[in-house]
Amino acid sequence: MKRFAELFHDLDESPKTNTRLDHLVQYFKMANPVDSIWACWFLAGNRIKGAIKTKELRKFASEHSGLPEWLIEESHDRVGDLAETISLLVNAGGTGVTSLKEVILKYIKPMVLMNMAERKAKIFEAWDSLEDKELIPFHKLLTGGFRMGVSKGNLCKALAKVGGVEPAIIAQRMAGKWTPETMSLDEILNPENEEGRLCQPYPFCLAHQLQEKVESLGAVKSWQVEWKWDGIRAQLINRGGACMLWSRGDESVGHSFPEIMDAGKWLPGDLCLDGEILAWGKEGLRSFSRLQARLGRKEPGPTILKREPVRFQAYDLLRMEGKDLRKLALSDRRKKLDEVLSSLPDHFPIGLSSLVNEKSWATLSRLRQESRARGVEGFMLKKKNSTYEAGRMKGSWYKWKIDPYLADMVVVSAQLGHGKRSNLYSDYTLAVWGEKKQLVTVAKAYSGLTDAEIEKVDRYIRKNITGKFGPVRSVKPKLVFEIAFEGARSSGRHKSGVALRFPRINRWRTDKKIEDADTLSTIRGFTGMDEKERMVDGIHVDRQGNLLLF
Amino acid sequence: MSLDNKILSVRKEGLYCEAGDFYIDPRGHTKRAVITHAHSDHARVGHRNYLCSDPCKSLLQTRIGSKNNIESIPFGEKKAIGNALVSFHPAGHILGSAQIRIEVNGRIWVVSGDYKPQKDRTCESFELVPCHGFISECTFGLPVYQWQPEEKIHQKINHWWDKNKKDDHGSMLFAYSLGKAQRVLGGLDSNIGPIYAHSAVHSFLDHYRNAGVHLPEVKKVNGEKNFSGAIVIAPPAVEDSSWTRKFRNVKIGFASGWMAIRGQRRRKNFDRGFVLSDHADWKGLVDVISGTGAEIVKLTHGNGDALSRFLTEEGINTSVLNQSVFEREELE
Repeated sequence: MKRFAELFHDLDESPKTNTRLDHLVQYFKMANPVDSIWACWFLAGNRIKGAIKTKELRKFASEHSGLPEWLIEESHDRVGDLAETISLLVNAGGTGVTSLKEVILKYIKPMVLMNMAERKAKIFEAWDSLEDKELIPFHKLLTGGFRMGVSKGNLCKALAKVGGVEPAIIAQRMAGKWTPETMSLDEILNPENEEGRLCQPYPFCLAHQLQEKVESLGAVKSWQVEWKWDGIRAQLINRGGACMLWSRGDESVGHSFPEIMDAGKWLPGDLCLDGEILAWGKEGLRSFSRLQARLGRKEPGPTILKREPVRFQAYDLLRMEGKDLRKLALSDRRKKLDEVLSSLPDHFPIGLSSLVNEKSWATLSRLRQESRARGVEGFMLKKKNSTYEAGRMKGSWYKWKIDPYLADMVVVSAQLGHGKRSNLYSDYTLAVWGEKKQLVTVAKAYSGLTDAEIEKVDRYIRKNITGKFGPVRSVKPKLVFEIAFEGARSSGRHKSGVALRFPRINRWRTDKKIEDADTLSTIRGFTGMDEKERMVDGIHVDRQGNLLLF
Repeated sequence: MSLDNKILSVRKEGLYCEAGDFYIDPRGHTKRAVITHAHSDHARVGHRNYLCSDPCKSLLQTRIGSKNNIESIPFGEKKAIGNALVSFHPAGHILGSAQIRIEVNGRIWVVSGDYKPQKDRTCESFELVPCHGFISECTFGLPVYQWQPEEKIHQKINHWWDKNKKDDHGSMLFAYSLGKAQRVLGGLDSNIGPIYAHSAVHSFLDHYRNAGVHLPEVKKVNGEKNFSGAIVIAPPAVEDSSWTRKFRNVKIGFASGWMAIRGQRRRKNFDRGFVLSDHADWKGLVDVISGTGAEIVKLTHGNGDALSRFLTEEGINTSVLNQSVFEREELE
């Protein structure tokens, strides 16, 4: 734990990526592997859920420090980060615990199953054993909010350096579900061990947003152009008739899409496809919102399977006959993909994402305007000679998206941010004018302002707080932000009845008053929500004209 | 607003004592300003007469640029001004910093100025002054602010400097030019390497040396190019200036109580924050305020809401003094 705490503070104090990488390498070289596998697991974004409720933690800290609970809240408000606040308030009485694994197995994991009194005794025991510097990392592990600003890519790079293995291989070994109980650091770092993880996805190759003019990309003919699907990115793996479907969050999602899993078995053995899960009816592509009905469900019943069919639209082939094809040029991979998927029947839930072959950027630009009508998000531009890399590669894969919708909205409440914004009100709730001339909340947005703007907004908010609701502060409506978003759909969970996709702040409209903000009907209108809803909720009739009740 | 028996009231210039017709740390132009200490948000130019503690005098002269109208008295000596008896008592904030005790017809009020009861080798030790009414600063009025002993922080600074030197880096440490900078300098281990200071810091060094404070040898930054292995102490005001940008290959640190919170440091992108403050921490505030035995406590300089509520719940009659008069720039 001492070493891990040192790593935490070293990372916390080094803003530069290279220095951070050095600290990671140093840690993984020096630390005991039974401990560092846990560090690895946490850094990869995993967490122990349900060890303690934050409310309890505040209560226990109050009892331990003898400070009233309201003062803990006030302190939290100033500091912004609960783990840090509690660390500053309770006095660590111990000399430290050597092993990170011990801290987890002795203190954190058992708490999940304890009652409140036992948990309290446990955490008091921890506070009396740990030393000062170990408190913040301990509380971070405990509350699950463990972020050290280390991306998965950098974690893999560090481990690759320690083990002398390619980062991509490390990434593949760490992909999917695993725990320090099922995998050792040796297995991650072992230069030999290639087998056994073939049911795991490869790290996804990601695209950059196209910032510059499309003409700057050079000749059209060196680019593969595809429609950018609005679905769930996934890899479909078939290994001798056993299928796995992995989404980008390394989440195994096969159970939600049994028809894709069933179909996958019929593909040639030991292969890995990269593609998109889409809502797809007899008429073709459907809107993303209909996919939502399938996503949350572990085992969808026959009704929902029938009403909300899906399809896996493949656009890349990463492995075939057990051979890793990622180092082949995209055009070669595409040729093989065409061969594999060319003779599939129409109603098969696995399809081939077709290419858009045009001779000039100008024609493509015109075609791109049809994106919304086609239900896609624009184009994907992939260099024909590009290999399949782990993570976001500059220069070879681009998203050429349609321009977002824009609307002016009013900030009605705010919450403290995270990381370096942890004591700034930087998460905003935004509203537009409803039918009764009242402000209705439609979105939350976190990003888009400059640091200087955030500080300014923070100062305004602190002076204009009108109410406290847990961590949320309502503020006097005055600030108007222009919000960009990708679309809107109806939602029963939101008071306004509308949920926006990917809302973010485009700019701060200091020139606008709250009266100038947009209305709910404008948002519903220009995203075409009304028509789409009719389509979703209208009467469904099958080919023979029979009324479908579900 | 009158505070108690007309001993003190708040006017737009600042705290006013009618019995003696003087102001404490005022703004604007007054007949007589009684000064707690020589920081620029307490000691301002423009007043006709100044009164301060003996060890504060030379610093105050430097601050306001004249000496004819500054009168000073030793710590603890009572001086009658009108119907008020005024005396200065060490506040432990910076060299010469004082709490001001005012006695009128047997009622005693103390204005704390900025203070810290924690140990500081570079200034007089804080003195607890019993009183009926206490006006206390509360810059760090939350329990998340808990200071470690200065020796520990000095060790951390030296260790950081030494490590930077081994990595072939220079060290640039920001510290407020009067008080904090000298406190940092006093703890530096000159065996590690050469010590430099920005001229704003340098100009106060002799005052400290004349007062008997031991400081290491400090060079003024004067166009040198290579600071590898050296440490430079500079005021935070120059942090974002061309002066600072000229230094290549230096690690940047900041010594301030605000560094207790990670967000504060990270937002400014300092490599290192050292939690070293010349103000009382939470425990210091609570101990001093209850130690004075004051019946009435008023809080200024900071967000006093939490401390005020806490003390009130402890049975001490506490409130926050109208802040608008005391709006000030952040010192640390």
